Amino acid sequence: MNIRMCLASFGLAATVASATIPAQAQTADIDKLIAAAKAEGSVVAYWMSARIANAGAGFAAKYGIKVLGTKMTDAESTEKVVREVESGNVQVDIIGYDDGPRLITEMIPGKYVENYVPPGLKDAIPEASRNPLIYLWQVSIFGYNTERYDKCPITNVWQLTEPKWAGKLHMFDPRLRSMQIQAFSAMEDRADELAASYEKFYGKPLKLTQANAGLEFIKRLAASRPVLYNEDVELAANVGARGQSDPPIGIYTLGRHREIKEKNLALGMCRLEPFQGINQPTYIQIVAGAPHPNAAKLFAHYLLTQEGVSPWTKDVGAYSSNPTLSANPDNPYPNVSAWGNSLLVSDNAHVAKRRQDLLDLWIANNR
Amino acid sequence: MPDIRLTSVTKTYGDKSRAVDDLTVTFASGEFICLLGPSGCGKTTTLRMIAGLEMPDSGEISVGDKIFFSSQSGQFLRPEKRELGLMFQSYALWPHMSVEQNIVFGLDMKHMPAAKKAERFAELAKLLHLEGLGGRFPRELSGGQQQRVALARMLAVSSNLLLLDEPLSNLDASLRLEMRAELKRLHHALGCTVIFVTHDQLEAMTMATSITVMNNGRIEQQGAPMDVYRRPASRFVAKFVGSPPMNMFKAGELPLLSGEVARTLGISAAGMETFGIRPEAIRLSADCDSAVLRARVDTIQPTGADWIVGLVFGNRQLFALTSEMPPRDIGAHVGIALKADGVHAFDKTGVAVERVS
Amino acid sequence: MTTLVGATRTPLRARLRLFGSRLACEPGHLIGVALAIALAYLVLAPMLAVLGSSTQLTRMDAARLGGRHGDLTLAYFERVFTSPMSDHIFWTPLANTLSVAAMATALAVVFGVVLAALVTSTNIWGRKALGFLLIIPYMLPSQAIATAWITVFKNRRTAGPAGVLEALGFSPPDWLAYGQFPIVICLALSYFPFAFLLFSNGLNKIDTQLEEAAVTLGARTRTIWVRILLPLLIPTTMSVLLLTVARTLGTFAAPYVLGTPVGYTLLSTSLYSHLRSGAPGVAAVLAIVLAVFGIAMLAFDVWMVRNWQRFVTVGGKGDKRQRAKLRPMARITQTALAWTVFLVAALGPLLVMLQSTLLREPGVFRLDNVSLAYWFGFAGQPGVFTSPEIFWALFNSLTIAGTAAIICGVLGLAVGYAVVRLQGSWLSGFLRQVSFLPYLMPGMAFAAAFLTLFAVRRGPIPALYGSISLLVLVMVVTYLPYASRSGISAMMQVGREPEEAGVVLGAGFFARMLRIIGPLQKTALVTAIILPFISGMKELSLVVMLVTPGTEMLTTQSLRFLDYGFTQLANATVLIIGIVVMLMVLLLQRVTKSNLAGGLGG
Repeated sequence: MNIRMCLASFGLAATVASATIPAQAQTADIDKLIAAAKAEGSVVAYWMSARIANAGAGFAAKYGIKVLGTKMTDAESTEKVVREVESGNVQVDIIGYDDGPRLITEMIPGKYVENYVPPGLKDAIPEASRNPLIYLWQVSIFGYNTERYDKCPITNVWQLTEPKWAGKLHMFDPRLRSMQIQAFSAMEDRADELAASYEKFYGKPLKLTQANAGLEFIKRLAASRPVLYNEDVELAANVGARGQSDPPIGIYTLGRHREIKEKNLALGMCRLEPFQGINQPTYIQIVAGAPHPNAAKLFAHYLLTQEGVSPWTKDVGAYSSNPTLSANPDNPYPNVSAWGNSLLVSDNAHVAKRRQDLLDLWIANNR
Repeated sequence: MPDIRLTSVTKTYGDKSRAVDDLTVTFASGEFICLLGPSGCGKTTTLRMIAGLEMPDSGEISVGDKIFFSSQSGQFLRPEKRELGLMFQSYALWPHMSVEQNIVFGLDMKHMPAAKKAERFAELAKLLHLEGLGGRFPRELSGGQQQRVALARMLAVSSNLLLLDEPLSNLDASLRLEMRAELKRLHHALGCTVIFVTHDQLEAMTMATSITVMNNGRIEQQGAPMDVYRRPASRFVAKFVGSPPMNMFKAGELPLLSGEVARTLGISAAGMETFGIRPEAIRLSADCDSAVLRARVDTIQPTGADWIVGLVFGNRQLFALTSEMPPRDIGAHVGIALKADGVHAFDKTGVAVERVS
Repeated sequence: MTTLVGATRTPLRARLRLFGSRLACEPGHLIGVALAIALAYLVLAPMLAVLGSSTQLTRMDAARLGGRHGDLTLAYFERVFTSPMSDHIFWTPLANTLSVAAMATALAVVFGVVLAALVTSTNIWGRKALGFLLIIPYMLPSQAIATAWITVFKNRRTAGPAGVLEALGFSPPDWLAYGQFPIVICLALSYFPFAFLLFSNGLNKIDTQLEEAAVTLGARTRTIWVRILLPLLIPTTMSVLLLTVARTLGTFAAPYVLGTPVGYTLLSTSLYSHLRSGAPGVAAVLAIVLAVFGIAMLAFDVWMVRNWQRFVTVGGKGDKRQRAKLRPMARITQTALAWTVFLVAALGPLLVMLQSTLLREPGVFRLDNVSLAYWFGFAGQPGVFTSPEIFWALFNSLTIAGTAAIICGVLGLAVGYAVVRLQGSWLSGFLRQVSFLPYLMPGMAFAAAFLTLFAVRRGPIPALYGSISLLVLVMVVTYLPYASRSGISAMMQVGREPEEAGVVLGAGFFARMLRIIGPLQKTALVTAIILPFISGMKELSLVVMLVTPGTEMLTTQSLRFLDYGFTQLANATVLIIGIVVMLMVLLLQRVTKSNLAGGLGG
C-alpha cells in the first residue's frame, strides 16, 4: 500500500469517525495521531512566513517533535513540491501557502498536495475555509507616516492615482507576489463599488478606458509608478521611518505594526473608501507522499489551536480561521467578520482565470 | 644490440599530409646515426615511433627478432619495454626533482635498492662530470649541465640504444662543440647505437657515422657523412648538406656555365635539369683573359681560415670558398675553373645524374 | 603513390589489438571519453531540460488555455517574442541588457587597463598592496556593492531612513540612485578586477625588448603605449571582453537591487520575476535567449583563438618592465586615482556593511547609537557570534563550496590533461568548449534545470535533491570553466615531454600522475580549486532554488535574514563571506606565489 492510499484511507476513516462517534472517541483518535506523529519524530514545513520557526518551537516543546520550517515564497515552494512529488523524492510534509488560485488549479488537481481538515476541529471552522483549508487570515492595510501627518492624508483609494501621489505608493510587486494579483481580481469583482466611490468623491462620473472601474483603477495605479517590493519589512520601515518631510503611503501587512516600537517607526492605518486593505488567507496543505504524514497532520491540528496560531495572532493583523480563538486585543477589529467588506477578498477560481490578463494590464501600464 | 629495421612505416596526423611516408630503412648496430632534415620532414616522428611514443598507422618496426610494432600482427611493445633511452630537445628534466632524483627515477621504477641506486648515480655522475651536483635542482644548473643530467637520466637504465632529439639545439656555440665531443666520447666508450635527430647539417657531418637525410616523410639518402657530401643522391641532399650551401642553377639559365658543367661531368646537357657547384669547387684565378669563365668579385668574407667570395656571374650570384687569399679585389673580374668532384647535375625529378667516369 | 591498398590494410584482429595498446598507452583517450560523456550529460542535459520546459504547457496554463499539462506549445515563445507583452517581457529588457552589458564592460576594461598600467608600469605608491586590494571587489558577493550603493545614494523615491548623502544634506536625483547609471557603475566595479588581473598578466608577459626597440627609435611613452603595448594587448582585451560580457549578461543582484525601484528590467531580472511569479515557460524562453548569447560568444571565442594567434607574443626574456618614474605631481594624482578606485569599489561597500551592523537604529549616525549588539546578541536575540544559523550556514558553505572546489580542481586538471594529450582531435575541442559552456549559462536557469533533472534517480545517479550532493554537483558543473581553463593552460605550459620522459623510463600512469604531473601542476591545482571555492562561497542565484532546510549556505542564510527583517545579520553574513574569501585568496597567493589571473585563462 503506498503512502498516498494510506493517507487517503486514514482521512476517510477520520472523517467518518468525527461525523458519527462521540467526543470521547475523537480524543482517542487524537491520541493515536499523537503517538504515530511522535514515532515519525519530525516534520518538514515550507512556509510563507518566517514565524513558522516560532510555531515549530512551540510544537516541539509540546509534543517533542522537531519542526524543520523554512520560509519560502509560494513560487519557491511550488517549484520544490512539484519537483519533489514528481520525482518521488519528497522531503517536505506540509506547506503554508498564500496562492489559493494555484492551489485549486494546479496543486490539488495535480495531486501534489492534499487537503486535510483535522477531524476534531471540523465543526469549528467555517465551511468556506475548509476546502482548501485556511488556517490564517492576514490583513494588509494602507498605512501612513504618523510623524508627518496627524491623520491619513487620503480618504479614498482613487486619490492614489492622482499626480500628487505618483511614485509615492509603496506596495508589493505584482510580478513577484501573487497576493497583489489576488487583490486586483477582487477589485475587478468590486468594480461597481469603485465607480460609485469615484463619483461620490470627485462629484463626477468615472471615464472608463477599460472594461470596468476595477481595471481602470489598476491601470491608473500602474501608471502612477508605485515603488515595488518583494518583502514588506523594508516597505513598512520606509513608510514609517522618522524624519521624512514627504513620506509615502504603503500597503503592507498590518502585522508590521508590531515593529513600531522595536524599530521606532511612525506608522498608522488609513481608513479608505471603498476598501481599506486586503484580507489574505493562508492555506495549509499536506504534501502527497509526505515522509511524516502523521506529524504533518498533528502540526496542522496544532496550528488551528490557540497556542499553535499565536506566533501570528499574538501580534496585530492576523486572525485564525478558527473563530473560537481570540486575536490580539489591539486589532482595529476583534475578528475577521467585524472588518466587514472593508477588505478585499478574492475568489480563487476567478483569479486563476484572470491572473495573466491582470498581470499583463499591470505590466503594460507600469512604465 | 642487433640492427633496427623499419619496414613500410607510415604515419599520418589528422587529415594532413603524411608525416612519415612508407619508410623502409635499416639502422646498423653500433653506429652513430643521424636523421637529418628540415623541420617537418618526419625525422622526429620517426624517432618517436622507434621510442614507442607514437604508433605508426602501418608497417613494422623491429630490433633483431624483437618486434616493436607490427600492423600485420597487431603487436605493439610498450615504450618502457623497448630498453632504450630517449633525450628530449627540451631535456624534459623534472623541475621539482633534484638532479639525483631525476637521474635515478628510472631505477626507482625498477624498484632498485637504495644502495645500488646511489652506486649507479655515482658512476654516472663521474662519467658525465656531475659530481657534487646531485642535490641541486635543474633550474640551478647551466644549459650544459642540464643536458648532461638528461643524458645521465637516460643512461641510468639503458645504454644499448639511445635516441636523441635535437640534443644540442639549446646550447650556445662553444658548449655545442664541447658537447659534440662529449657525445662522441660516450658513444665510443659505451659502444651503443645512437640515433639522433637534427636539422643542423654541420652537427650531422661532424658527429654521425651514418647520415639519413629525410624530406617530406621520405628518405632521400643514407650513407656515411663524406659519401653523402661527395655524392648527394638528389638535389635536395646536395643543397641541404654543406656550408656555405651548394650554388644551384637551372640548366637553361646560364648556358656557358651549364655547358662547362656538362663537359666536366662528361654527360649530355640535355638530361640535366639543374646543376650545383660546391663553393670549394670553384677555383679563382687573377688571370681572367685565358679563362673560359669569368666573374666579377662582389663581396669578400674572411672567416679566418678561409675566404667566402661572392661572385656575380651573368646576373646571378654564386659563392666560392677558398683557403687562399682572393686573387683580386672587390669589383674586379676573376677567372673561374671548376673542380670535377664538386660539381653535380640533377634530372627533372631531382635525382643525381650519374657521371661518366 | 605506389603503396598498395592491400599492403596498408591490416587484419581486423591486429587492428583491435593495436587499438587496445593505443588505449593502454594513451590514458588521455579513456579520460577524454569519460569526461566527454559526463560533461555532455551534466552540461547539455540541463540545457535540453530548459528547452523542454519552454515548449510544454504548465498545469496552470493548461487549465487556463484548455490544453493538457505537458502539451507541446509555442505559446511561451510567442508571448516572449511577438505578443503585445513582448515589449515589456523581452525587447525592452533586451535593449537594457545589451546597453548595460556594453557600457559596464567598456568601463570595466578601461578601469582594468588603466589600473593595470599604473600598478605594473609606474612608481605609484603602494603598488604591491594595490595588486591585491584591487581584486577585493571580485571577492565580495555581487549584491554587496549594489547594497552599499543604495545605502549611500538612496533618495526619497524609496522613502524610509535617509541615505548617507541625504543625511549630509544632498539629495541624489533618481538617475544617480536607481536604474541604468548605478547598475552600470556597480557592474563595472564588480567586474573590473577580471580586467585588471588579465591586463596585469598580459603586460608582465610582453617582452620588454619590444618596448626598448621603440625607445631606441625615439618613441615617447605615450606613443609606446598607443602603438606598441595596447595593440599587443588585443588578445587579452578580447578575452576580457568575452568574460565580462558573459558575466554582465546573466548578472542578477545589482539590477535587482538598483533597477526594481524604478522598474528598470534586464533579461536576468525579467527571468527571475517570471520564475518567481509562476511562469516557468516564459522564464525558460528567456534562459534560452541568454544561453544563445552565451553560445554565440563561445563561437566568437573559438573564432578569435583561431584568428588572433598571430598576435600572441612570443615569450621574451621576461625582464620586469622598467617602471616609469612619474613626476611628483603625476605620481600623487595617479596614486590617488588608483587608491580611490579601491576605496570606492572595495573598502566602501565593506564599511557600509560594517556600519549597518554597528548601528542599533539604522540611518541614525550618532555615537550613542553605536553598539556591538548585533554581533554578540541582545534581548534574547542571537548575534552573529552566537547565532546557530550562521554557524551552520558557515559550516555548510565551507563543506559544499570546499567539496565542489576540490572535485572541480581535479576535474579541471583532468580536462586539461585530456585536451592537451589529445590535441588536434575533435574530442579535445569538444571537451574544451563544453567544459566552458556553463560559464555562459545564467545560474538560475541552470539551477532550475538541475532540479528537474536530478530530483529523480537518473541511471547511476541517485535522486540527489535534499542532499548536499546536488548543491555540490551543480557547483562543480557551473565552476568547471574556471578550473578547466586553468587546467588547460597549465598543461599546455608543461607540455607532454616531462610525462613522456617518465613513460620511457618505465613509469606507469599512476606513477606519472603522482610523481611527475601532480607535483608539476600543484600551483595550477590550487588555482583550479580556489577559484571555484571563491565563487561557491559567493553564489546565490544558483543555490537559492536548491537549498533545503539543513543545507542553508551563508548566502541563502543572508537572504533569509533579510526576509526576517534582520538586515544587520544579513550584512554581517555578507561580511563573513567576504572575509573568508579574502583569507582564501591570501592563502592562495602565499602558497602558489602567483595571482588569480592564471586561473581566469589570461
